[in-house]
Amino acid sequence: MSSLVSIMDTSLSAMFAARVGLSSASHNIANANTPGYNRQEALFAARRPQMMRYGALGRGVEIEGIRRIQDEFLVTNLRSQHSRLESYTQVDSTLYEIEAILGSVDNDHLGNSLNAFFNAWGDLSTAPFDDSLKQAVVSAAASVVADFRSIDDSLTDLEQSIENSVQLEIGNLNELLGQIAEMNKQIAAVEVGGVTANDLRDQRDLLITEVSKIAKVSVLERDDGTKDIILAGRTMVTRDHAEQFQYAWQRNGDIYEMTVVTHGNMRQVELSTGRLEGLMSSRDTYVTNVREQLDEVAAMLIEQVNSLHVEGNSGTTTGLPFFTGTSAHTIDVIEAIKQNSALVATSRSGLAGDNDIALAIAALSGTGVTESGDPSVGDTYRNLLVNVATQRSQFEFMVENQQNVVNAIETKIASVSGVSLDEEGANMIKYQNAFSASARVVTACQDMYEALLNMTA
Amino acid sequence: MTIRVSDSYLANILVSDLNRSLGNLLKYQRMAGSMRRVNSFADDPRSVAAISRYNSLLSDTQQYLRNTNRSRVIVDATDTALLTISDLLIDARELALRESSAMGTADSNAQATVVVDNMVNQLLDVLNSNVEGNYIFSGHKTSTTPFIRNNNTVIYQGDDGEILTQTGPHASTVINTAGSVFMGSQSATLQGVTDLAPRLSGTTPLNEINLGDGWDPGAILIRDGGGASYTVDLSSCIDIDDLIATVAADTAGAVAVAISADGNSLEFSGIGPLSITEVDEGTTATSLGVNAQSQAGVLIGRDIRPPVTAATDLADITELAASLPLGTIAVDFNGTVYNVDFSAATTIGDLQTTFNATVPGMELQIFPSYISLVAGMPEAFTVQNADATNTATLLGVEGIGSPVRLFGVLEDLRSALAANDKAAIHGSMTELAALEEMIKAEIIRVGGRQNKMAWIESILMQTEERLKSDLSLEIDVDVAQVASDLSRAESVYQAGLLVTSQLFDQNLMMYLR
Repeated sequence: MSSLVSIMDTSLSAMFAARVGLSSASHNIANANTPGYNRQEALFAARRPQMMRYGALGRGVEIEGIRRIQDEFLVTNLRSQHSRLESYTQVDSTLYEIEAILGSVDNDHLGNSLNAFFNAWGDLSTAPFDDSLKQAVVSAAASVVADFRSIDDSLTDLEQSIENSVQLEIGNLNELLGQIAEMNKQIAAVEVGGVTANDLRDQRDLLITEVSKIAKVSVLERDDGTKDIILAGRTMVTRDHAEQFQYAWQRNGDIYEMTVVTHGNMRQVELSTGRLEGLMSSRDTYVTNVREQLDEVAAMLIEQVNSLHVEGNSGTTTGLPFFTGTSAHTIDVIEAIKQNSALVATSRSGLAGDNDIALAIAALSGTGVTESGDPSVGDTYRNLLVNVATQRSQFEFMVENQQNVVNAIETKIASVSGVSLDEEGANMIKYQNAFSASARVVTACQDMYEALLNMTA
Repeated sequence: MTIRVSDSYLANILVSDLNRSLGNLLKYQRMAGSMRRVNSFADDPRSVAAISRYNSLLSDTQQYLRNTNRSRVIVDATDTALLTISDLLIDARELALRESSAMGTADSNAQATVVVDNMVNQLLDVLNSNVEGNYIFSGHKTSTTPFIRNNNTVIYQGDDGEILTQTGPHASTVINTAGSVFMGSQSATLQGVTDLAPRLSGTTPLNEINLGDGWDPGAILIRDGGGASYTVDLSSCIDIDDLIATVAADTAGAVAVAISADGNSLEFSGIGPLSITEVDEGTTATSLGVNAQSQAGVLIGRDIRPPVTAATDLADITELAASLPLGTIAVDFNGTVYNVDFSAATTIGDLQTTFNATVPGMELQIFPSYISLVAGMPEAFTVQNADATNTATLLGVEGIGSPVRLFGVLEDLRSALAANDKAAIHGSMTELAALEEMIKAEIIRVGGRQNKMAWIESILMQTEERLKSDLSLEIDVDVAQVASDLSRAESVYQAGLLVTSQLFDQNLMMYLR
């Protein structure tokens, strides 16, 4: 038969459990808006019963632990999708800058200056003897050169900016890896006693998610509660030790060789997704492609204009090219013509009224192929614009789509791990009532004690 | 399964929805602010290509318009100069007529000598006309004074160079007349004045229309009064019959094409009013002479006849068809009269063969719309009808073929006046008359250029307007549509804000005591 003492002990266990439950609810409410926080709940279990002649007599409740509620599958998936989103966002951002460099939709600087250049030749063809129109051709050519160089310089600045961002991200990554190693150390120390370090784990998971934004990450949890961090197939964090990344790149001719290497052995590491990968592919693929296409436009302009101009006779010189250089970076009007616009040749004969060369150069404008069957400079430049526009549109869509995927997973995680104030409110009432009821049992026991004492008095 | 709704879950969804609404609102605000449908490359990549292309085409078209306008100054100045030369030649011939008659005396001849001298100086002034300091009759040597007088001889210092102006993609037009045409040459020419371009027929190749300039293969857009529109792709057509069949097939018989009654142009018929326009930036309808609209159900295009060639059948030439067979012409050349019998001729080539075989030292040359008789020496010749068929008149070659000696004839006249040689004064009138004809022919040619440039200008202006319109369709917003979209997006966003603010007001904590 149960004694009053054991009944009071049972009630006390219930009051203690209610206090722990209330404390857990209070902790959840306090961290309702803490980034990376996973709600916690107290795990209750009935104490082992006391075996009596008539059966097992319950002895109250005990706290088995505080559980952190998290869906590991969703978290892993979120990190993977974050990596992809950051990669797409970075490329989209680079393409946005490239678009700004090229100009607006209805006022692209280079397109306008190319039109003005060919129009200047058209004007000159109507009065090939007019020195002021020759000067206008040279001025228009100078604008074309300035625009080519301006775009080229801006692309170089963009590349430099990307390199700076890569350095910055490498620094961030190394910092995060170091923090994860430190968290591993603390978690291992806490959990060696069998207690789960819920809040420390939340903080570590948040750090890992931040890492996943920079580079795609794999995680391996050890029995001691520490997590190894694997990037691009290489283990970068093992227990409380973190490797450091170092960034190195070199330009080999027109090809960029950009690698991320570990400090110790300098082996190349290839990243598949994440901000770093986005930055690198922005530069290696998209900026490089635009530069190549721009160089193609410049080379085509130089070749087509020069092939006609060298046939011309300015009256004092023959065989003179108009442009020098081979690319957007090196294109220029030849020095002799810059110094003396009278050297602009308008005809093969060199006669004042002849305009066959001026007409032929003016005819290089327009759409479709030129009279010689080559694609026009304007069409080649338009291909560049369309490529950038198509890529921009594609990546804008991909970013939006990927953002939706990330939002959906975050929402799902919030559904599983987030704090609901309504739920916590209900729990508060539940634990409060449990506590009151247990206290009432203690009061009843006390009354029973008093009754017994009065009987013996 | 009921989903667990945590506070962060709720916040995620609401913030995501609000962001979407705000993004939509921003998009329409940007459209309304810029009045542009496409503000960024990513808005519509297809439009980026079209807009850039339209801008380039517009820039090119405006350049062609500027070229045409500037070139017209030279063509108009040439026309004015030629009219003045024509007037001077008429005055000279009248003076020769007066002084060779009984009215002419030694004194009046002497005074007339001064007048002719002044005429030569006037001619020099006219032929040395310049536009902005550049001589219009110097050929390519526009900075060289074309004509200078050395004692009593005028020397031409220019060349035969043709100056071209670009009036379209791959299209250019001659705008100048070289002064060499006025000076002595090694031949004498009588240019025909009859338009001999043959009628169109079903087998006329399309690449020979427009006097051999051909056409621009492509599609045309036909709209009829019934509200139907047909895009007809003619690019595979070879001849007029193909074109007629293609239009009938592609419009299911709603629009018919035939050759106009005068044989000069195409005639489209259907439910009026009919309009025919280009497709995209094409020039097919223009090159077929049918880029036009008609209030009636019949649309007749402009003259697109093919050129005269050796193979042209005389029966296909409107001016000759009713007068076949031709007869005989008499050619008085180098002291001999040659009777050239064309009665057996059935083609222009037959005329050429017969003439060249009959008159030694002369040849019949074929041009796109006329024929010319050319002597191989600077010797005047005369061509007359030799029978009642009036063949020389029909062919437009009745008259005098002369070497071009604009200043030479005036110098001869001045010498004759000074010598009071009435026979020589009278003799100069023949050559003066021939010169007048030559100048008239040149005036007609320049007039043709003026008309062509006016036509090109009109086409270019239409093209410019169309390109602006197309560009506007690509880039500009539909104001009513964007205003409506903007208003809706504002309402949606405001509703989202209201719901969000109210949703977080409610939770269990408010009811706990």
